[in-house]
Amino acid sequence: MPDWLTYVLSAWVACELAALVGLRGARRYVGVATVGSVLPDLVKAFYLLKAYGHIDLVAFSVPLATPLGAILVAGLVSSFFDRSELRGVFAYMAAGVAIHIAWDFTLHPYGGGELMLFPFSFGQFSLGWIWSDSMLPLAIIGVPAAVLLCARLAHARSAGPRRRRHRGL
Amino acid sequence: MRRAWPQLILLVSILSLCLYSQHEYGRRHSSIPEIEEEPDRFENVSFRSEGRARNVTVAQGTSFALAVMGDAIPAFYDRPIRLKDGDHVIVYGILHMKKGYLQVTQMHIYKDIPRLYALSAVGLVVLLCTFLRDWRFERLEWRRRIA
Repeated sequence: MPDWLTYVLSAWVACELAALVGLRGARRYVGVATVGSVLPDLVKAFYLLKAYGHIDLVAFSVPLATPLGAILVAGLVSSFFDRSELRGVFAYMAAGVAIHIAWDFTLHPYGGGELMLFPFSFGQFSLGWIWSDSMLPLAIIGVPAAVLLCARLAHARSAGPRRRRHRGL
Repeated sequence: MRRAWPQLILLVSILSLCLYSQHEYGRRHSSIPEIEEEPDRFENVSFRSEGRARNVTVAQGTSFALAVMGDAIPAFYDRPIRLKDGDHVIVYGILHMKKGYLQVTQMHIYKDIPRLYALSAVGLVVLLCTFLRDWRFERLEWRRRIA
């Protein structure tokens, strides 16, 4: 997996771009999108449980990092939000999950591979472009993140103090 | 209470997938103790895992013990590489369990795992700041701070 900063920045960039193309309220859900972007890594808690607690639930936890399983977890987590926000929260959390899975899909094949078709197939798929310790994902997402952040700061400065209540990072 | 049923359905669905995976994925993937228990079954079987290299010896080839989540398996790579004790590696190879070792065919040494963890910690801080700035937990649900 790439580092969590890559996932979080990717979720933020996606929300910013969505806001730029006119999707209303995209910036309001940056927080939930970032949560969604690390949600499939719940599975890592089970790795720690095995390594340090000697309780082997790794096979049990595998669905949490699959597209279907992670979307169901996003649905469950969303249900603990204010009822009036439920749809928006779920949509942006699911977008965060999709971003995570898209990044993991780029990893090297014998570094894992995504169970994209689970539970119908246990076949693992990956593009095999990047090793999980590579800085490349962070560099790729860091450039648009820096550009968007500079644009936001410049816009906030030119708009004056009244505009500074916009949501975002 | 009105939300209890959808939550229950989602929880049962997730647990069903997990139980299915425990059965099926567990059948397809074996842990090191399982492999060592049945050497005949795991002779000439492909193996892929990620862990730490221990007791590294580099001569004409590289031999080491691959430690994965508390268990270890002897491994041999037929070329000398710059592998240090404690390096985090990912290996792909063929099991020769009748002789009791893993023949590594492909291998990647992770260069900077602490950097990965450090960046993840920064990501976690950014995530918490962003999320908790917008949301607060009140009366058993997350509500927007500024509606």
